[in-house]
Amino acid sequence: MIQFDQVSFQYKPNTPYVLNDINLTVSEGEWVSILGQNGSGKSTAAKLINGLLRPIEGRVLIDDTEITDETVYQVRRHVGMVFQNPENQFVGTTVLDDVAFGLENIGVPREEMIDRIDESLKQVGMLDYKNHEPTRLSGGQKQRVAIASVLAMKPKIIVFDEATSMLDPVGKKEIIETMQYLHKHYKLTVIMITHDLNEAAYSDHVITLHKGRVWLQGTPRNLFQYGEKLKEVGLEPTLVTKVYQSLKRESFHIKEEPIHFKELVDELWTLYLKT
Amino acid sequence: MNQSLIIGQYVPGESVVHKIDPRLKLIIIFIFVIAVFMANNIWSYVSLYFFVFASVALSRIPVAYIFKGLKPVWWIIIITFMFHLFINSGGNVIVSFLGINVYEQGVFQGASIATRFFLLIILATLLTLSTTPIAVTDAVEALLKPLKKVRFPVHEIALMMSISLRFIPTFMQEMDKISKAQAARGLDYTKGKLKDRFKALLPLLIPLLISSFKRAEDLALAMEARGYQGEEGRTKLRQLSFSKIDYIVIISLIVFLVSFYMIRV
Repeated sequence: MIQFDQVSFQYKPNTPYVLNDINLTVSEGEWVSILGQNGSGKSTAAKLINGLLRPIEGRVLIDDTEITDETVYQVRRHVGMVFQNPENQFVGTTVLDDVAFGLENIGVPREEMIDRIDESLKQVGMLDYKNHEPTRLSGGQKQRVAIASVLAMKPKIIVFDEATSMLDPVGKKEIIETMQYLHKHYKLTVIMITHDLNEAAYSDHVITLHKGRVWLQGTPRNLFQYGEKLKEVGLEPTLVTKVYQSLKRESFHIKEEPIHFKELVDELWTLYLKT
Repeated sequence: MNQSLIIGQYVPGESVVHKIDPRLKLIIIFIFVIAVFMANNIWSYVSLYFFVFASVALSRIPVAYIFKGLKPVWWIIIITFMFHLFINSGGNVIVSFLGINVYEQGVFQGASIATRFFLLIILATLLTLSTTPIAVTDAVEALLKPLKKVRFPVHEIALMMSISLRFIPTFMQEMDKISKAQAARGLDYTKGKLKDRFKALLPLLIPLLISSFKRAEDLALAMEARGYQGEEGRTKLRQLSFSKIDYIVIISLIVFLVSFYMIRV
């Protein structure tokens, strides 16, 4: 589905490589988080996926098609992108116009456009706000419109480039729930760029980048096992991990490391029964 | 305040004037500008007044809104009227006081110039009150379309207009935030000499400028990610089409113009 083949990237010649010889594969329908601190190259990796940037060396393939000048517009139809700043990616004067923008770009006939707009707004629960101007929406709502704009184009992959980092906790929750819903019901491949391990816990796979190289590739559980060591690559272990680690130090026996809050709670209330 | 800016001065409504195609509205205003300068006797002016007031009445927009639009130009209208009243010295003297003579021609000239101003501004105000800015943008794009043949970037200009409209409230908010942040650092741009006040504006404008570049960059990236590649192969959601009302308006307009032409000498 998505394949990085020995990809290296630098923004200007004679500057350090932002990405260094990256090899990655993401299969269809997967939810993958790309983690890393600022400057780890994670946002650069996101922009390589839909051809906003081109690798200096190596190839990026989407469905076995290499991204080149000829294929880039075709690839963008399949790879939608939601960015960090809710305000700066809202192109239209109203919700309706904003969702229409992408469809207009790819030349969807007007009749079909109207249906697709309603459908995608319904999927993110924003249909009632169709004629609202961006100023009347919260950050979370604007991000949901951004998701609808991408969905209307019927992509196979959605890349969320730190899409929740500028939102308040309520907005964050809205977006994560929308992502989960879409992933589950429409089998979309989700790529989530983040530095928040709580968000990464929802994904099937995590790829951790550090200084432009892959530091770890595996499941969230694999990653969370590193505990305090995660701080070396600029990541903050989640509360669940911290509690688990402290319990372990006090020699309480928990069979498997919990990664979600609910798992930890379940472990805790059954702990007494076991001992 | 931010809210009102994006929809401009638009007063939502269901009247005939609201429903006229924005392209037709722009054409009517264009024709009216010519007509106003062709009027040359009292009756032709009366018919223009009739035309404007009938439009206002049909729009069902409260007169108070329309007068609000006139507010900044009232004094220009009055000064031009006065100017002609005292300067022009054609025809017979009507009144004479304090050694100043007011002539027949002066009154007519002053009144007609003031009328031109007055009517044009009312009609323009009516356009902005009864049409959303985005509809005006669409109309401009549609009307300028023939210029595409001479490589005039019609689509790009329309896109620029609509993006500007969309970002006006954003920048208002931003300006508000910056001015509060700078006030917290002790900046005061309301006191002192004019020169000092201008200087104090710089710490507001520079951060705004920088952030607008950042926004422009983000927006360009977001547009590109959504497959924007210029006008080619693009379809449009908003489409303008003439309805029955528009045809009725066109016929009435022709009737009016013919009678207007016959009235003038």
